[in-house]
Amino acid sequence: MKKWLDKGFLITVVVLGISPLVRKIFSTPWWITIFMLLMWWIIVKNQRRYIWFILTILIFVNLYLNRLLSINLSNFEISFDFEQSFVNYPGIRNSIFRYKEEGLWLPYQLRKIFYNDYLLLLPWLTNVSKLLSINFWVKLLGFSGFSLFSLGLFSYFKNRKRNIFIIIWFILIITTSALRVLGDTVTFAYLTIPTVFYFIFCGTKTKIFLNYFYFWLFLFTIDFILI
Amino acid sequence: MNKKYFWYLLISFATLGCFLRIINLNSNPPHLGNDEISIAYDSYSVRTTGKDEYGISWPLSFKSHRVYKSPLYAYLNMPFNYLLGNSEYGVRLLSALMGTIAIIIIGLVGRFIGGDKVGLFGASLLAINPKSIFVSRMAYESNLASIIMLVGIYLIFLFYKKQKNLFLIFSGLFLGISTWAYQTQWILVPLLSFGLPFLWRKKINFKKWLLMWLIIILLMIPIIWDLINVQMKDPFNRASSQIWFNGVAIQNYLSSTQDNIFKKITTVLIDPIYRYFDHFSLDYLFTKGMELFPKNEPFNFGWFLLATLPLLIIGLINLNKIFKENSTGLLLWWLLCPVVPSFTHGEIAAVRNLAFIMPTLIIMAGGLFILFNKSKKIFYLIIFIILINFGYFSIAYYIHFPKISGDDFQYGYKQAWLYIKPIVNNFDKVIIEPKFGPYGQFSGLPRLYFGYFGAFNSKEILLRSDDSSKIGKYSMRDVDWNQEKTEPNSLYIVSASNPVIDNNKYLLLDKIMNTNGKTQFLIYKTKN
Repeated sequence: MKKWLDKGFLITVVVLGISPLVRKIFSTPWWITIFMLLMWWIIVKNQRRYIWFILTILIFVNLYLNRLLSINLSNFEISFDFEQSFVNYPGIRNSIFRYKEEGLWLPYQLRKIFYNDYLLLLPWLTNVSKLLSINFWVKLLGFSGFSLFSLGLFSYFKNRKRNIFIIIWFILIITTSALRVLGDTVTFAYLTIPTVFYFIFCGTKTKIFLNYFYFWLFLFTIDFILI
Repeated sequence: MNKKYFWYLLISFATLGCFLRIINLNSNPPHLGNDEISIAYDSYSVRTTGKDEYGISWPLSFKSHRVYKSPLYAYLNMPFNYLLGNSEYGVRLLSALMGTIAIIIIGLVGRFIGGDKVGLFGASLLAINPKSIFVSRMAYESNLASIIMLVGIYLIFLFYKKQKNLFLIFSGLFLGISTWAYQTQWILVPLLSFGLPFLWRKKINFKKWLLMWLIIILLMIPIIWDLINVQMKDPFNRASSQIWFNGVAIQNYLSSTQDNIFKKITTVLIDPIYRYFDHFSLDYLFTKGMELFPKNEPFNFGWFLLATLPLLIIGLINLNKIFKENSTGLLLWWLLCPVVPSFTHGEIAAVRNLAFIMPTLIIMAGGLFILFNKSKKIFYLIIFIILINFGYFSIAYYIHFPKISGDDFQYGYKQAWLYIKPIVNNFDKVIIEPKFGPYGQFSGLPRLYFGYFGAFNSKEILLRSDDSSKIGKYSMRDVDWNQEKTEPNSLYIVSASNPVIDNNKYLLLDKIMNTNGKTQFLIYKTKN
């Protein structure tokens, strides 16, 4: 048996097998999945020469997947759907304008400082924090998957020789997906699959997991019942 | 740190916090809310007649609108009601003062378990904490309960270190009294008072805590008696329907699903766990949990300022380093707080989890302490960002919030009364519609607002007819203009969504405007 094809690997596959995140593979264009795996391979190999290029492409692919970016290959047109993103969502712009008009006793010139477009950042940050919340990942990975994912994340940060681009990949997907005001939460996280796989795999290697294996098995049973 | 400086700074933070909690207390929130008016009225009624709205003498729970409110707030508020009269200050000031006292207590708890600086950082963070400011400016029993409980926990930590029975007695007293203030404490207090000693069982023998448990149990007996003999005997009691499996979502799932029995049971049992995790959601805690404004508006805020998020992370990572032997106790306190609210249904009910604010802020204060020790530059930078963040919260809360939140606080009943007060003696009948809101979709409690602000006194309300909506010449009922029997000398206060159809019979006297500039109530009189 090859070194990577161990118990931890099998557990990771089983955990992700019952997760809605991986089931999304069947409804996602195949070329995106292939592209994702290719980019992941470059990141894992730590090919520093190409990494920043790859991460930029990753952002575009994620925006495309979340229907924020449309690419027309026949006439090389790329367009960004500003109205579906926090960049130009009419409701938010209107409320900033309304607050600017109402109330504040400050002169109009000063109001421009307090009530400006940078306030668009706040609802986007709300979306980012929602995607980084415990329940978002529990619902995607189940209790057993989330427990391994968080253990893996801890061990990743403890490891001094960690590949920093893995976490950058994860954060890029979350922050760019969060640009969309309304959307499908599984799609938001789809391109994080390789990083999620990695963190869960790391989680299976921790001492806590080995010590509390039967408790984890109990969590897995609950997830299995809830499928 | 010099003891004198510690107190100077602590009192300065408390003064700042007091200012933020008391300024414009009568106009922000713009009107007494549903729960506030119940407490206000019951406090006034018991003070003047010895009976609550329903004629029950010195009750152990106030029936209110069948939610059976805990009694402590209404009783403690009686001196404020006596001194300040039936006004917003007359019911909110107690909460505001308790919120201020909490700043001092958190300073002391922080100092005791993490040192002087942690105490001061905790006090400063509480002084400008959005959620604490929000709840301290309203008559919330849960605010009172969480602060009394905080004193009890402080005394538990004192006993853990010094092992003097005096601390144990007082911790039992405060924890027991907190159960008289809010229902969450009925479960949370036993959880904490058993959980913490269990955690420290190697250092302190379990038996040594008996005195505290005994006092808590003794103080809880009347509350439990009332629960069994009064609240549980009311078939319309709304408090018991708050349990998670009575929620609409679960009931709909159970009635419509084809799932097997195992999945059904697991789904119902697992629901509180999702709810528990919800209380730790970053968006809820830091960006939208306050729900001051509609969803996706830029001015929404969480329970804590967004700029304090790094402090929580740093504090949690360095918990052992900062709080040493107290770290496990602090962590348990933090983790246990959301347990009780997790077993209730609906959206995350912020008021049920106010106790969560205190340990979170102490952990954040620990994070700030680490930054202070490691890098002064980052420390001052984060203080600067926190102040900007707080500036924005102040603009949102003190300026914009009162303007958009009228409907949430049944705005208009007090204003309607103030309008009709000089002319009301000219009328034989006054009809007030409980409906309000742009489409008349909400139902309010006009009898309590009119009673509290002086339309009729507490004795008259006790003498009301069996139909509780009729008090003297005042009738609280819906108005259907097609069916309405027109009588001379009648005054109508109706929802703006229900204007008069036949202008020949009724004359519009005035409109009561909502805080957002839209009409809330219309005032008519019959044409004689």
